[in-house]
Amino acid sequence: MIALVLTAFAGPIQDGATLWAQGDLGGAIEAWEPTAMDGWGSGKLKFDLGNAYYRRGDLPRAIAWWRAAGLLRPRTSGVNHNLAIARSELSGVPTPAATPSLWMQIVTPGELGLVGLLLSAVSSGMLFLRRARKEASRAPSVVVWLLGTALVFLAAWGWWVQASGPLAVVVDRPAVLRAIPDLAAVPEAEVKPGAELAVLRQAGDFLLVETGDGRRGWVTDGAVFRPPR
Amino acid sequence: MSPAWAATVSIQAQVPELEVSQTTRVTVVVVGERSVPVPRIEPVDGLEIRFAERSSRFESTPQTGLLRTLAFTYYVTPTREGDFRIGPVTVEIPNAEPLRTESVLIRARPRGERTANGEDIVVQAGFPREVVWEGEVVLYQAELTARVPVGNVAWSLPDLQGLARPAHGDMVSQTTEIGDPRGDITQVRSTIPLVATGTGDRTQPPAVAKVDVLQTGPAGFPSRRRTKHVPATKPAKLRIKPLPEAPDGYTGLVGEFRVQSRLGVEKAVVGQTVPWTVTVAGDGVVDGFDLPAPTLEGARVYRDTAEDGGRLVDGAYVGAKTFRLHLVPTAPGELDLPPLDLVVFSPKQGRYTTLSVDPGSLVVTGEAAEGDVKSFASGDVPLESAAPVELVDVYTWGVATVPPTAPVLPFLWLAVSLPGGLLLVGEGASATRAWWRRRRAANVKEVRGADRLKSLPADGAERLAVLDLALREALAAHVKVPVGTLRRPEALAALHDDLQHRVENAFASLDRCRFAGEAPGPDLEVMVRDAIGRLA
Repeated sequence: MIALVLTAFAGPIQDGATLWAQGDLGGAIEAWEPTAMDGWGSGKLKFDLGNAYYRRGDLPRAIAWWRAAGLLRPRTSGVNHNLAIARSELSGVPTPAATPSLWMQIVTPGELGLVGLLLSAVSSGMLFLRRARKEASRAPSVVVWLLGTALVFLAAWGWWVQASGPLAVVVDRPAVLRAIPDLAAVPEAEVKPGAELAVLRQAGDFLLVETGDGRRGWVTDGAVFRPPR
Repeated sequence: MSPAWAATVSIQAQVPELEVSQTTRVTVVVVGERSVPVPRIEPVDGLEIRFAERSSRFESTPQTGLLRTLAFTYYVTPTREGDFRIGPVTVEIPNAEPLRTESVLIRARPRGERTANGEDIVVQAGFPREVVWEGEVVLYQAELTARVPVGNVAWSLPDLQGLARPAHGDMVSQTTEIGDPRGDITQVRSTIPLVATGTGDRTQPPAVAKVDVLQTGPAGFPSRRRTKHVPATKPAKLRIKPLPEAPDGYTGLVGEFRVQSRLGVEKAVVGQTVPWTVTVAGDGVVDGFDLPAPTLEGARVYRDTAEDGGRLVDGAYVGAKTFRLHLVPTAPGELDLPPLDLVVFSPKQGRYTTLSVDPGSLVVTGEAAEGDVKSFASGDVPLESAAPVELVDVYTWGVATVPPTAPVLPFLWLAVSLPGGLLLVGEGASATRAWWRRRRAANVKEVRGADRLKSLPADGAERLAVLDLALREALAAHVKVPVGTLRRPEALAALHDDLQHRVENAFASLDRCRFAGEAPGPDLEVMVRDAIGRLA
């Protein structure tokens, strides 16, 4: 616990924040990004990265990092606030793709899993207590156990879905949507930088993506940025 | 919300240009959740179109479930020369609106051009245009045409004089198959983007292909034997013209380019940082290009990053460079950004041209920006100054890394719920076992006394024992107690007098015969049967 607290006050977040306060955007990004890219970056770190990219004028990457932060801190109003500001500065981009599941806008898979674990543990205790007291009905314990188990497995599924990189943001230049994953295929449409796309699958260097208004197509992997989980 | 049937359809021709009587493949690809019938291609005069095959590939993800890619392949053979358009093809979707593809163009040349001159393997290399400008991107194309089955094809390119590889853009190779009456043709085409750096006659030495030819075995089937062929191309002609004398402000770009400019906002306050992005894209290299520093009154401009790239897209080179700038207004008012003028050399026009883009203007307020929001309230409502919306600031402390807990959740769940689960399983097993026993007991057919009388043993002692057992079972059944717990006196006391008397007599006679050595009389069985019958 002490190590955790020390880490919290002396880690990359504080290093980057110091540079940020000094106006060194590039330095702040260099302090935050490697940790965020390793896949275990916290929601705070990704939120800060989003701010840094926004200040640099790279709205697509800012949006990508804020969306990633939103998955880890879904109840933090600052994420939605900043996302709304960035989106308001973009024009011609399709409706942002929604989170993979509605409940992920409220709770993270980790939090849901902990609730499930707690319920499972409580149900175990209830079962032993009932046996010690020689009470006949085991229905409440079983219901709690089933609920806890369902939440645990829902959380594991949610984590797996998030880990598969379900969101991509078009960066740098418009991305070409194609009907099939082949560069020789006729381009069907373009989506502008900043477009938030749901990634449905990957085939080689191509991603099958869907916009928030339901349009599907294949884009090259290099045309979009997928923040790591 | 995505529709129940979300699919994409497309059509493509493997070889869009071929000779009369040659055959290529046209494929209609349907990517979606469900299967569809074979799409019908409308007949085209001058083309023979035959359905060849249907292939499918399945993938599954948690987001979409099963997704299948269906490819319907058709053989297409032009019977005369000309341009033919296939499609649009309608793909019928069960219980949904049909989808339509684009169309594809097939160009048929008369026979005799580009034949292999009787050779099985022909290689050629060259440039699409033999005269280019210094600094222009040229595509070096090496092509192998084989009328025999071939395996690996590797090119050894000559030392290309006066040409250089751009920083971005890799070689792209494509293999196509053409059916031909004189034997099927395999074409392997590799395209490399190069930058013309020297001038004058830059005819390139031959390129050499190393190709594995698959030997055919008995009955024409390919065998595993391979032979190596090393054919060489002819020299590739190229002449590079020097650029004319450059005007002032020439950017060094050679190609057909376009410029885009985008300001992050339309309104800002003094001192606010406004992102400004300028993108230059075209068919030339942009590696060394730098945006001239824009200067303007009423604002300071800062450079941030610049990213460049380039690659072959659909047989053409595309290079692009994006500059990110920051503009900080220093005075209120309307800030008109001056047009960006870039002098480039256009190979198509053969001269220098100026690309101009108007970045637009920025409304700068001294204190706060007013939004152009219209009020729908009645009467004159003063429009309050809207404070610029600021980002929620960064976190200055916190944990930077959070190991994911979800992967270990099932194991933790197993640990915490195992004790209760085992208890529950144990209790459930006990309850199941008890239930099963009860069920088995209920299913066992009760042997009643009367049943035993149907097959009495012949031996006298055994016969008496069975009669005794049958009588006790009948009595137990009558008083509704298990035969094992039957207490004869109490059971007899529960019978009415007549029946009690008959049963007692029967038991007494049986006891005498079994234990006192009395010979069983002829009426003993009748007496026992009568008692059992009455008890039943």
